[in-house]
Amino acid sequence: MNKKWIYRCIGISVIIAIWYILNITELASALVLPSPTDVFMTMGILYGDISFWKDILFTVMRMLAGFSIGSVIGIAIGLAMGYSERIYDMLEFIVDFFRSIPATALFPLFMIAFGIEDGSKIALSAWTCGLVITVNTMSGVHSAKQLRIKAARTLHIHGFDLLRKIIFPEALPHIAAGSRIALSLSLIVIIVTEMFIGTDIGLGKRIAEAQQIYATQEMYVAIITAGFIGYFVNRCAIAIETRIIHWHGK
Amino acid sequence: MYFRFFYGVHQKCAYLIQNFNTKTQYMASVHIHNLLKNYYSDDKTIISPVIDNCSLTIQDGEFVSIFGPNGSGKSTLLSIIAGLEKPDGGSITFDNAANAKPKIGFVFQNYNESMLPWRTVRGNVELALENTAYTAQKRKEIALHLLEKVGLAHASERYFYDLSGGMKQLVAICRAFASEPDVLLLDEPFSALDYATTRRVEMDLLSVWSERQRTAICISHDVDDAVFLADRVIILSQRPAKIKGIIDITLPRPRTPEMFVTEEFYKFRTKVLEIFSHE
Repeated sequence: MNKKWIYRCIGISVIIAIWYILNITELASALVLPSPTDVFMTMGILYGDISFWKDILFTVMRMLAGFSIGSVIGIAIGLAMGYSERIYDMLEFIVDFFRSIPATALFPLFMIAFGIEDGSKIALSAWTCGLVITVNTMSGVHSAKQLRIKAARTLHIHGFDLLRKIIFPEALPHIAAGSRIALSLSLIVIIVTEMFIGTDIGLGKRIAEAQQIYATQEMYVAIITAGFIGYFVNRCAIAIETRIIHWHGK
Repeated sequence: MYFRFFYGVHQKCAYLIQNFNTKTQYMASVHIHNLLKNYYSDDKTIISPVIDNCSLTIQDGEFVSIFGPNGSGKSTLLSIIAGLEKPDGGSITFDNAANAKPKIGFVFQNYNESMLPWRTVRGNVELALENTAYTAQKRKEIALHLLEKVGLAHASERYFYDLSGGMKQLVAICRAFASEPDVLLLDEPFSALDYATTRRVEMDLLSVWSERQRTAICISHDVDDAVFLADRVIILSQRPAKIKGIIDITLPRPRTPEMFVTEEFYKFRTKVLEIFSHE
C-alpha cells in the first residue's frame, strides 16, 4: 500500500516536472499553459474564496439531482424491461435509439422545454443518467440466476415479491456499475450546460468566463477541481457499493 | 385494559397457530400416473422422450430415493412434481395435501445459486415463511428452531456466503422444511459436498425429517446416499427414464452412520446395483 503511494507520487511529480519544462522552455505559450506555480497560487486564492466553493456546491448539487432523478426512473424502467418480455420488446429500440443521440445535442431543446436555469440542466443530466441506468438495470435483471428464480417460485414467491426480494438484489451489482458511469456522465453534462447562458454559479460557468477574459490560471484551477469532484464522487460510489453489495464476488 | 384484552387475543392466536402446526399432518402421498415428457430441440422439431410412461406412487411420509444415471430425466421428474414444468402426458396428483396447491420444499444441488447471498442464514430460512401469516417473531422462532436442529444456530446472523459448502446446504434444507411442505424434493443435494460432509449433512437431514415426517423424494447418483436415506429406492433406466426396479430398504430407523458397514446395508446396496447395471 505504501509502495503504491510512492509510485503514485512519482507519477504525479513527473507530470508536473514536464509541465514546468514546457513552461520554462516556452514550448507552450503561457496563455495555453501557465506556469504550475501560478496555477497553484491561483488555486490557493480561489480555494480561500467562498464564491468558488459556491460554484463547486452548485455543480455538485445539480449533478446529484440529475443523477437521483435519472436513477429512480432508470431503475424502474430497467426492472420493468428486464422483467417483462413485452415491455422489453416495446422499449428496447426506443431506449437504444435515444441512447445514441448525443445528450448535449438535446440541450437547446431542453432549454426551451425546461427553461434556461437549473431545470434544463438537471433534466438533461437525468435524461443521460436514466438511459445508462435503464440499460444496466435491464442487463442486471437478465443476468439474474435462473435457478434462484426457480427456487423462489417453489416457495410461491411471485410477482412484485419476486422482483423485490430476488430480482432487484440480483441486479444491484449491474445497477451500481451503471450508476458510476451515470455519475461521471452527469458531471460532464452539468459542466457543459453550465457554460451556456442562464447560469450565474457553477464550475462550468467559471471555466467559460475565465476563458473569455483569458484568465487561464483560473480556468486550470476550475478544470482541476472538476477532475477532483469526478474522482471523489467515483471513490464514494465505490465505497458505498462495496458496503451495500457486500456479497458480490463472494 | 384494552391492552390486556388484545394481549389475550394475541396469545390465543399464537396458541392456535402453534397447535395447528403440530397437529395438522402436512403429509401427502404422490401419485405419478403414466408420466410423459419430451425433449424438444432448439428448432422445436426433433423430439425425444425424457420420461416415458412412468407410473409410481409415493406414500404419506415416505422417504424415496431415485437412483439413476446422469441425464436420465431425474431432475425433470422433480421439476414436474414441483409444478415448475408441465408434463406432455399423464398426471401427478397429491392426496391428503393440507393445501389445495401442494406446498413443495425444494433443495437444489447448487446451493450457491438457489439461496440468497445477500441475506443472513436466518434471513434465507425466513424467506420461505414470508408469505405466511406468521409474525416476525414467530418466523424467527421457526427459523432458529430448524437451524438449531442442524447445529447452525450459532451462525444464524452470519451472511450466507460466509459458510462452508456443507453448512450452506444445511441452510437450504432448513429453508425447504421451513415452509411446512407437503412434499420435500431434493435434487442431488450432496453432489457438491465431500464424503465426510455428505455423511454429516445426511444425518442432520434425517433428524429434521424424522421430526416432521414429510413425504420426501431425493434424487441421487450415489448408491450409498440412496440406500442410507430411503424407505424405498427407485432405480431408473437410461434416458428415456423408465422404472427398472424398486427396492424396499428395511433398515431400522433412526439410521446411524454405523449402518454403512453392516451386512444388511451392503445387501441392499448390492441389490440396487444389480438392478441398475442389468440391461
